Amino acid sequence: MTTNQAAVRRYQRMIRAVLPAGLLLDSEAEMLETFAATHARASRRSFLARAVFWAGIVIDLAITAVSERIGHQGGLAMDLKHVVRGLAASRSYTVVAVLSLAVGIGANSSVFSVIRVLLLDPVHVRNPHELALPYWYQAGNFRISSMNSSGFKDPATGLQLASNYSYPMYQSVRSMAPEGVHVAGFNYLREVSVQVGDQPATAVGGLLTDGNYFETVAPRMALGRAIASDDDQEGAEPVAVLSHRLWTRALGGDASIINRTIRVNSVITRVIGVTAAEFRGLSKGGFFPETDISMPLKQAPIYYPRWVPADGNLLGSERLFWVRMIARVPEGVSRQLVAERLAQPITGHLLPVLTNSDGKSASVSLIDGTRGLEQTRSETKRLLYILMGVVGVVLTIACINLAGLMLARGAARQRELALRRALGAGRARLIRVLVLEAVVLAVAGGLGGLLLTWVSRAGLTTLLTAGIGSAPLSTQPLQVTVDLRLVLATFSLSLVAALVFSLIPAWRLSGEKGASDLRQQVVGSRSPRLLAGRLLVALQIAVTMPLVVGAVLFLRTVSQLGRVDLGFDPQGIVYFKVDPAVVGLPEPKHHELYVRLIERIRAVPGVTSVSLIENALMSGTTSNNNAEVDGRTTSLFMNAVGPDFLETMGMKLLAGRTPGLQDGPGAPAVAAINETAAKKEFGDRSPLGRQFKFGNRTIEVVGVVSDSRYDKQRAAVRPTVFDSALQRPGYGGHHIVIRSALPVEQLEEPLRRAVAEVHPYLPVPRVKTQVAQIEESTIRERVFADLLTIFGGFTLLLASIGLYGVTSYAVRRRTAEIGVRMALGANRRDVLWMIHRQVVVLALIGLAAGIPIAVMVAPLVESLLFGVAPRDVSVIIVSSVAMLVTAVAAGLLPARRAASLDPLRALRTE
Amino acid sequence: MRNRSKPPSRAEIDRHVPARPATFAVLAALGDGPRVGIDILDRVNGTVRRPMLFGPGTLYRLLREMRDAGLISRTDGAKDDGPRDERRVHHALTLLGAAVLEAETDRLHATLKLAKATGARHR
Repeated sequence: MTTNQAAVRRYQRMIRAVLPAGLLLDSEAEMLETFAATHARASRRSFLARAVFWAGIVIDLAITAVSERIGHQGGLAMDLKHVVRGLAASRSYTVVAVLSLAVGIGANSSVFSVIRVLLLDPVHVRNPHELALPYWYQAGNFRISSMNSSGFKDPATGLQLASNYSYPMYQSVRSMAPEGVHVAGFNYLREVSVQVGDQPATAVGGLLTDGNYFETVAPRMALGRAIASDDDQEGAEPVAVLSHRLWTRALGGDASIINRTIRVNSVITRVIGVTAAEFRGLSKGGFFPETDISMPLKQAPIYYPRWVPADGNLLGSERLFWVRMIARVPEGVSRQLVAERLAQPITGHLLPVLTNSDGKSASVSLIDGTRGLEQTRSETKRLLYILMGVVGVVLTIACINLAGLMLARGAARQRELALRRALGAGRARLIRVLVLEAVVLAVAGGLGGLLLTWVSRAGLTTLLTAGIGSAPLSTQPLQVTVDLRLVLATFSLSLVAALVFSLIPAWRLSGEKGASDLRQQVVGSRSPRLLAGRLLVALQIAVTMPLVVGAVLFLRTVSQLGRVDLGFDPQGIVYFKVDPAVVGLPEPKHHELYVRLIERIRAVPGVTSVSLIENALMSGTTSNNNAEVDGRTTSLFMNAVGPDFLETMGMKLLAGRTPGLQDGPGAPAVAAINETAAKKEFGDRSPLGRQFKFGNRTIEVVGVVSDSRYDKQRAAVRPTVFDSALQRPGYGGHHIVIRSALPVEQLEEPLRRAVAEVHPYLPVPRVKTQVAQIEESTIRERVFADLLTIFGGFTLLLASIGLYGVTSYAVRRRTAEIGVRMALGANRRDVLWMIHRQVVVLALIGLAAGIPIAVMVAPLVESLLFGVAPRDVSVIIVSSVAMLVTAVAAGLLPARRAASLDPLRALRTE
Repeated sequence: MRNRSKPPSRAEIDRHVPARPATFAVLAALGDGPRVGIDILDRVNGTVRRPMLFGPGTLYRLLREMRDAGLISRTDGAKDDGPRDERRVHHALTLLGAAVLEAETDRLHATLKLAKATGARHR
């Protein structure tokens, strides 16, 4: 071998080591030839010249190698182009992969956005972590009533804590606050009527706050000043602080509103400030309405004249627990010590209302107030965690599906990859191409997810708010913004998943074994059985099972709820609430107003009949009371009703009559009772003429009416006494119920005008249909049914795509075998069954793993179900059959393809 | 010229003008007919002071790039003015390559004229 030949060999080894295959395929021979010519020249020269020559060669190669890799011709850019072209060519693969990732990412970022707002985000005030909610505990029973309270089971101690204080109790507790610790009192108002100028009154969520509240919670003010101690005095001028939202919506953001007056529950009130836009109150909406207006706590008697407890005035009562408290405990101050101090006066206040005490004194727990009040809603948390689980499953399945798809695609591309490898493509290069494909898919899926989150954000958050918040209150959707960081986090999760799942096949297929597979295939040996891919499909089926079972459970629940006989006809019923007390009418005048309203509204075109009802049906609100009948005490539900009640509600009279116009304040108290109450109290004897004693009120039964549901479909028919609404003012007024064939949109304006004619300042907060009310009362169940059906259906679809994929692959792999079998006399049915057997076995393995999971997790939703047990056998059977049918359907196409193969051609495939 | 396709349009030519120095050097090296790689390398290196930085790697990368751009073509070795050498690969200008060479030469001439007119030193 000459020195020149040796140099050319060395050069060849060098270029093969560093240059990409593309350039080598293109020009290797020429490069060697040219090198040989230059080297021959250089070798005749001095040692130094030869050294310079070789240095030049090395630099030249290095520059070439680097520019090949980063340059636009052979490097990453070309791979990317290659990958995109490949993905565009196999469109169905790409669509399924991207769509499944998009839905997985989109669902997760939407649900996590809601979770973030509800459970993770602090309230928007200075140092929110200093906020604490003092809840108290005292063993024993209390004879008290409370308003807007919420219990909380302390996870640390297991004690059932109470949120509310009576006004005197609150004052004593507040006075115990140590130096530097702020303690304030407040409570929510669900519906405050606000009227600006001559505009119609609107109903907003509100807050009563003491003079310390704004100093304690410390929200930023956009305008004016906060409520101070001087405002929180009896006899002080009524003032209010508005939210930024109310200010911009109802007042157009007019800065001159400060010091102007508006009507709040018909009380002339001076606006003194507007809170900053970011502050939405201690509750984020959904449970309590967002705080749109705040008034001083001590002014409660003028805004709510009806709040008169049995034992005297609101501010002096030891029995009415209507004040909540919040504290700001600076860092470095022991919360334990603060709690102990605040607890000192509690037992003393409770003594007069306490029975069966264990003799120990009360304790106070300071609950973390960083995130406002939602922290205390364990039911909310549970629902959110269930949802989190559901979307987590969706993402998992999307990833499993992607892995399966990639495996199948990798297997299908085995030949191509083996060929590339045989042609000299480096292993790193092949892996890079496969990984690049995964990244492209993940990026496209991430973008799709972002798009989906953005498009669905309004609908989904409203849906979730309605489904998670306590239904009747959640008329205002939660303010949820799409958090880009969340989308990115979910996106990187799917990126990681895509990378991991692409690396496994990439590593396997690009190795030496891949190259040897080419030889095997060329001589007609079998291709891999794709065991991993089949296991993934079984896993998908297993994980999908709980979602399908959940969907079936909720669909059954919704259908059972819809099948409940309400006992009245909700179609065509429209109602709204009026409260004569808010316009300052004294109680003896209320019945006159109601009678005038009934007469005026009867004249509205399209109205068939009008009546009154204290508690709207199916609204979740009931009144109940102890009554004396024949000398024994019994508990009965009550609802005050007006004339034409049966006609309006579509109920039937069984005996006697119902309260009418004549049953006014002066007349003897009368009532009709429903069938259930009649049976419960009087058995077979006639109830007509019998008497109930409610406290010092004696009511005579004058009629019996057919049974109807009172508060919700889930509850049995309540034994109910329908007394006369004209004889009892009710708590917060009565509803006017209207039956009409007209849609509510056409009715609302004439109704409001009719009310305004009777009394110009009487607020009509909301006109609602009975059907909407019923839908609202089952919103949580329907939301879960919708979500689980959507997600369950989607995952089922993904699972069947996976099944289709592995079955198609199996058919392709076994084409020759099928040919042999058919040539040997197997008929279509044998072949069909041969393919289907694999599908059915996979589905059964998946079900065997999935059913126990479903049975394990189903009881989590038990409280939401109706008319079906969480482990109902028929539900599991229906779900299993649905999954099996889907599986067989997914395998049908490839199986039919296999069965219709021409044996001769099948044999020739190898 | 072997390439019998229709002449390139003005827009096509303009896309390559002004040409990169290395590209222009290769075009110039092929101006009088097809050449093998080592000839191109020598001719191009003859125009610069440090010849070896333009080595085989750089050359063939550039040749492939120019071929992809349609400026040159690879022939099986047919040479107008010599015996056929079946084993050696020749590179030749395409119609587009020839047009770009002409356009770039004109441009440089014009630039040179400008430089002289404004007093630049010239040996």
